[in-house]
Formats: sequence, C-alpha cells, structure tokens
Amino acid sequence: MRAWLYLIAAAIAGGIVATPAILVFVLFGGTFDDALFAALATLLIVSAIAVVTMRDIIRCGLAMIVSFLALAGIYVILRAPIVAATQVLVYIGAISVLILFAIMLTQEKVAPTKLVFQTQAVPGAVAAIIIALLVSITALGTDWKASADRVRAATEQVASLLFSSYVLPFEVVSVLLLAAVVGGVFIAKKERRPEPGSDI
Amino acid sequence: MGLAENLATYLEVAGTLFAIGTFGFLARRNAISMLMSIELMLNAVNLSIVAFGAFIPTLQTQGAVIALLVIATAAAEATVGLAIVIAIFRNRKTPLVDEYDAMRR
Amino acid sequence: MDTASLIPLIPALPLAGFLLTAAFGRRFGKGAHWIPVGAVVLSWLIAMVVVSQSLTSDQAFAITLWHWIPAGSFQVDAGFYVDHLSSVLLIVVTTIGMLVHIYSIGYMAHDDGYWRFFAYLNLFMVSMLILVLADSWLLLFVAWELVGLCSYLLIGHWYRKNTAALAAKKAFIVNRVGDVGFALGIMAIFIDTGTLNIRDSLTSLTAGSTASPTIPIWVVALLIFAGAVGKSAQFPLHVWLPDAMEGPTPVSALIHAATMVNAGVYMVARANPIFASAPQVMTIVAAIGIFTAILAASIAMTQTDIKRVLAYSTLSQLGYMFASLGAGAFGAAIFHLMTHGFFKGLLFLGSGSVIHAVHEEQDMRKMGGLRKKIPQTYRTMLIGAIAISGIPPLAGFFSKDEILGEAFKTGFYWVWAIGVVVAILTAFYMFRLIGLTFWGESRVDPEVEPNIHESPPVMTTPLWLLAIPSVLLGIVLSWPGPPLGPLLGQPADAQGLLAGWLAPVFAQAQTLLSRPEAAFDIGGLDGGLLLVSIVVAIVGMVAAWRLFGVEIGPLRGGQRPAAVKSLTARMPFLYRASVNKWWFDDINHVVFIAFGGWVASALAWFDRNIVDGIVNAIGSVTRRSGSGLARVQTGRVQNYALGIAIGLIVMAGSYFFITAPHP
Repeated sequence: MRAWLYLIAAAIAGGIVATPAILVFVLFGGTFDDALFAALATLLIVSAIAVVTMRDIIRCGLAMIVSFLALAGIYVILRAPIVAATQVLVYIGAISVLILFAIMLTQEKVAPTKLVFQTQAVPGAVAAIIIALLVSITALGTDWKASADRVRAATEQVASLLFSSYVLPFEVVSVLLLAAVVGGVFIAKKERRPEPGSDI
Repeated sequence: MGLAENLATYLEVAGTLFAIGTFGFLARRNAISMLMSIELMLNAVNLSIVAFGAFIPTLQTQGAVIALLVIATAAAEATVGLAIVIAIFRNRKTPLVDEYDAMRR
Repeated sequence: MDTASLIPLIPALPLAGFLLTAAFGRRFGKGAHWIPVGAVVLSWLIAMVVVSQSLTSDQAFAITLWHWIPAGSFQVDAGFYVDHLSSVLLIVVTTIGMLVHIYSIGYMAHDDGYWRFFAYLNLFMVSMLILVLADSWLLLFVAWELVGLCSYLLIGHWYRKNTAALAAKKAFIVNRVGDVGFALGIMAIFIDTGTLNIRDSLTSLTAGSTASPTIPIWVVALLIFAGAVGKSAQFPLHVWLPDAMEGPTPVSALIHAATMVNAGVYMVARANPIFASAPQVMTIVAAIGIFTAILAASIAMTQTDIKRVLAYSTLSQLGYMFASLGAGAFGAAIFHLMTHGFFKGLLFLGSGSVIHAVHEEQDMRKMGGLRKKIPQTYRTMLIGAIAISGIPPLAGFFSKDEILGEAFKTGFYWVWAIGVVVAILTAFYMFRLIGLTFWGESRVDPEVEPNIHESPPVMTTPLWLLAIPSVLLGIVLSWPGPPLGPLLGQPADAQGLLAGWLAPVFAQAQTLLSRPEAAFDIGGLDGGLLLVSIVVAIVGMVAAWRLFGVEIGPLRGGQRPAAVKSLTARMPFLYRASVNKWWFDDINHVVFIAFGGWVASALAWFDRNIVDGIVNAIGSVTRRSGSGLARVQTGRVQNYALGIAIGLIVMAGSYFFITAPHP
C-alpha cells in the first residue's frame, strides 16, 4: 500500500518539474538550454520551499539535498562545471551529511511539537517577500552591461587563478577550515569529569 | 526565449531562493532548520556570484573562483554552527530556539 | 537737672526691672515683685516730675537718644518728645500701671508664674511708655508692636490653658491685621514727606496741603486709622478684646482698659492735623466709633461673665472716644480717655477682687448678695459704676457729656442720638452687673460661701486710690470751664484745665476744621444737652434697678427674674443676637477659617493630584515606556534576525527612493 503512494508522489514531482520545461520548450519556443533551466529552477524553488515548510525535519534535510542537486545542474548550465562538481562534493557530500547527523543527535524524546512555525512567521514571510521584490527590482532595473551569452569558466583557468591572484584567500580559507574543525570538535565534545582517584 | 542567456533570470532565481531562505530562518522553530535555511541563503548568493562571473566580461573566471571559496567558507560555518547546536542541545535538552531565551530582560 | 534728660529714665527703669526680673526672678520666689514694683514706682515719680514741668509751662521737651538709621535719604532718629498730650497720657499710664503692679502683688500671690508675670508687666510698661513718648513714627510703630507682643504674653500667662493660648493668638493676629494698614500708612507718610519724625511730618503734610502729595492725605489718614482700629478693638477688629479676658484680671485692667487700647486714641489724637485735613475720613472714624459703641453695649446687656461685661463696656467707651475724635472734639476724647482709664481700671480691679473672693468664679449667675461680705470691693465698684454711667458729679458725667455735646454742636446729630442710646444701655448693664453681683439673694455655690472674705489691703488700697480720681477727676479737669464753671459764676468763655493744656496740641486741627467758637450757654442749647445726658443716665439706672434690685442707702427693691425673662421673651431675636455677640465670631470663622481651610484643602488637593500627579505621570510614563520597549529584548535570536531583516529592507528601500530618478 505504501509503495504505490510513493510512486504517485514521484509522478507528481516529476510532473511538477517537467511541466515548465515542456511549457518553455513547446509553447514559448525556447532552446533546449532554456527548457532545462526552467525544469531545474522549478525543482530548486519547490524543494527549497519544502525545506522551509515541512514538519518532519529529516524530510527537510532530504529536500535540501535535492535543492543542492538542482543548483549543481544550474551551475552546469552556467558553464561552470568545476563549481557544480564542488557543490555536489562539498554540500551534498559533507554538509548535508553533517546536518543529518546533527538532526540525529538533537532529536527530542517527546513527540514532534505541534507548531512548526514561530509566532513571527507572518512578519517573517512579509519581510521575505519584500526582500525578494527588492532584489528583483534591482536585478531587472540595472543595466549590467552583460555579455550576450554565458562565458565558460574553464577548469584550468580557474585553477591557475586560484593559485595565482587568489592564493591568499585560498590559504586563509584553509586555515579557516582548520579552525572550524578544531573549534567544532572542541565545542561539541562531551565534558569529561575527572574520575575520583585519578590524577588528571 | 533566451531564458538561459539572460543574466536577469539567474538573478531572479537567486533572489527567490534567498527570500525563501530568509523566511525559513525567521519562521522555523528548530535550530537545525534555521541552519538549513542559512545554507539555502548561501547557495543563493553563490548562484548569483557564478551568474555574474558567467556574464560580466571583466569577471570572467573570477566568479567561479569566488564561488569555490564561498562553498569552503559555508562548510566551515556549518561545522561550527552544528557543533554549537549540539552543545546547546546538551544543556537545554531541546532544539527549539524559542526556548533559548536566557538573555531575556 | 535738665528735665529733658529725665525723660529716658521713665521707660528705662521698667526696662531694667524687666531684665533683672527675667534673669533672676525665679530665684526670688515670693519676693520677685520688689524690683519690678520698685522700678514702676520710681518711674511714676520721675514721670510726675516731668509732667508737672511740662504742664505748668508751654514748653515741650525733646531729647534725641541716638541716630538710629542713617541710610542716605532715609534718616531716622530715636528720640522722645513730651508735650501736653504726652504728659496727659503719661499720667494715665504710669499711675494706673503703678497701681496695677501693687494690686498684682496680692492677686497673683498664689500663682506659679509670679516672677514671669511681673517681668512681662514691666516689659509692657516699657513698651507703652516708649509708645507715648516716641518722637518718630518708626519708634512708635516698634513700640506699637511691642505692646501687642506683651499683650500676647500676658493674655497667655496661663499658657497651659487652651482657651488662654488661643485667645492670646487671636489678639495678636487681629492686631496684626490692623498693623498692616498702620505700616502702609507710615510708609505713605514717608513717601509724602520724606521724614519719619512725627512733628516734622505733621507740619510738612499740612503745610503743603495746597500742593497735591503723592499719596492723598485721606489715604494716609485711613491707613493709620486702620492701625487704631486693630489696636483699640473697633469694629470690625473688635473680636479679640472679649477673648482677651482669659488673661489675669490685672492684665485686663492695665492693658485692656487703661493703657494699650488707648494707644489707638492717642495715635489719632497725635495725628490730628492729618485727620483734620481729610474730613471724609473723620466721618468714617466717627461712624466706626459710634457703631462699635452701640454694638458692644447691646452685647454687654446679656453677658453673664463679669469680665466680659466689662470688656464690652470698654469697647463701647472706646467707641465713644473714636466718635468724639471723628466729630473733631479731640480734647473731649482725651478727657474721656483719662476718666475712663481710672474708672474702668477701678472696675476691673474690683471685679478681680470679687473673683478672688468667690474662688475664681466669674459667672454672675453664681454671685449675688456679696454686699455685706466684701464691703470695700462693693463700695469702690459702686463708685465705678456710677462714674461710668455718667451720673453727676462723678468723672464719667463730665467727659461723656462733653463728647455728646460737642457731637451735637458740630452737626453730627446721628452720633449724638446713638450716643444717647448707648448712654442708657451703659447705665443699664452696669447696674445690672452691680445688681447681679452684690445685691439680692446669694446664688453662690454653697461650698464656697463660708470662705468669702475681703481682699487683702494690698489689693483694696489700689481700689480706693482709683476711686478718688473716679469721683474728682471730672470736676478737677473741667474747672473752670463748662459745665460747672458757668453754673458757679465763672466767665462763660473760660477754658477747663485739661482743655487748656490740650488746646495748643489741637490748635492746628481746629483751624483746619474751621469750627466757629460758641460760648457755653447754660440756659440754652448746652443746658438742654446737659439735662438730656443726666436724664438718660438716670433712666438706664432705674430700669436696671427695677429688674435687678437695688440696695443703696434707703432705696430697696427686690430682683425680678421673672420680669427679666418676660422682657427677653418679647424680643427673641435681639436677645439671641446679643448673647451670640451678633455672630461676628461665627462670621469670622466661616469667612476666614472655614473658607481659608477650604481653599487650603483645595490647594492641597491640587498639589497632591495635579502637581504630584504630573511628576508621577512623568515617572510612570518613563517606566511604562521603558518596560514596553524592553519587550523587544526577548532573548531569542530569531526575533533579532527579524529586526535585522526589517532594517535591511528599510535601508535598501530608502536607497531606492533616494537614487530613483525624480521627475
């Protein structure tokens, strides 16, 4: 009984994703890139909404993974494959796992609470909408002097740039990662009380 | 239609994602949800950086480089944030942020 | 020895007496009276020397003691001045003062504050003497206030008694009300004349009467009259004198009959040029005076406390004096001042003797039949009563008749008419007092009755010494003038002794008032008025005899309390008004005390609720807005994040507005 519920859910999801792609491709006469972009963007937005609205927090984490994947796809459309690869490796491979572990460690013994949202959810929503409006007004209103098409970010050039003019930020970020790891371990470890009789 | 060749499109998507992340950050009760919303916001920013890098001639590959550094920073921040959440959970026995009001007047 | 240099000794001796008694009196115990009485006797002797020098010559003596205030255009000297008017007053003040001091040795013998009493009595003598001798308005005012202070101290001698303390306070405060006017008047004198010396200011005020002074003379006269109204207890400031009877009887005799209350009369007489230049004010003075006279006489008719009757009688006689001053008969007023001082002092000291005999009982309804038991007191008081009723040939007849006669002849017919009514009432209530106290059946408390005894000689001697002037002074001072002079063959335009002395003092006023001099016509108008005075006095006396009994020589008659009751029943309103003192105390209470208390509580309400309310409101607004604003600090990160988001939106939005292209 459960199985075909999941199938229906998957079909709906696929439908949701495929519809705009088809729309763009067929109705508006866009290129293949456009259709792909429409599909991925829809997936991204829908899963992001799922992250912030679902009750079960594990499902939120999984929806987050889906959104990361969609984002990686969009990076590929933007002709920056190295970023896409790094996104998948780091975000999905490390951060999402970390988050899932943390969820596991902080689960409450009692049943999930009734309220998902805070009392300030409505003002928060209003603020979010206004922020979105502001960004879109800026984005649409400014003349970015953009080039006509996407420029490819070649991996070799990224690497050479990373180790020539961006080497200082690179080194600093690595130190930052070291500090974060040490700090994280230190904050999260259990406090050990010295046992009576030992000489610690 | 030129959706994918238009810088504005990517910026719109990034803005929407950022707004969603903001809403989640302000509205959810669980601390981990807040962190997930933060990740969404960081990703939105990352997307806009990469989009700028792809479209603006003077920023050619720099966008990608900056994006890589941002991802690394986000990883570091997620680590420390989750460690803090775990530490607080051990003290307060609850992951719900509206219970963390010891700094109330 | 130069007479002028003797003058400062007159107040200086009692001053020394006061200081010594105040410092050491307690130690002397029963002997505390020697120094003060000795000081007053010596002062009397010196005063008699000075007075005899002054009255037998036309010379006036002045002595400047020291230069008091040298302040640029405000120069005041402290000095004494003795002319005929001051001499007359000196006689009254020192003589009666001395006799009261001697009397007090006996009266206050059992009192705890014996030394304190004599100290204050001496201080009072000092103040009164400085007042009479003062040569400067400022010095007079200082002495004026000092006299009021001594009155307060002496009325409240038995300070532990609540009524006495309240009465002393009332006297002082009511005096003060009048003194405000007096002070303003003195300031007005200074503004108009630039000097506070009495003689100089009087000459310059009347000399420059053609030019208009800064402050009109009638205003000056009215203001200083206000002081006289307060000090001499005229309407409407009369309410303190009856209450002042709470003090010991010698105090009542000295201060409230013979000396202090005469200060107002003396002051108006001294300032006679000012008043003569303002005829409207003279009318006001006469009106207030005669109104007080009849008001007080009507109240005295029903009072049951022996001292109250005498107090209201004093008010009434003072009213006569002011009426006389207002009618322009200054000499007559001073004549009455002298005679009244003696016989009222006699009556008060006599009443003290009565009170002493019946063991401090002052209610006349509990007296009666004391004629045989305290004969000396009885005889002297009878003399006093006959004198005050205006029955010839005792002193009161001469002075009262002169007042009434002068009032009629100067055209103040209403003063004369009311004065005649007052004369009837005076005779009536005085003989009512004698009747209730000395005649008829004894109503004395049976426990007290066996112990009734005559007062010691130290008390009865002053009584006889006062009785003598009460009998003879009228004849002596009016000889050889009217009314006896023409009757016994003297020339019709002869002047009486006192009139002769005082003529130069009041000459300026007489010229200002421009009254024609008419010779005394015994067969005509003057004789008729004389007859009227005698008749009304006898009518009042006989009426009192009918109701309250009589036992003089061959005359006998019983008391008729039933007749008294039916008479009062026929005039219920008048009777009630008289018993309640015409409700003036109640009016004062409602208007000033109750109303003032209401205003005060309204202001207190205002202060508590509005003024404090504003302050408290500011405090509570601050507190509530603080606690309201503090609710922002929830301690939750998400609430702060919302704040950040809102701030971000505001900043970004305003950036839009600022950089948007304006049309």
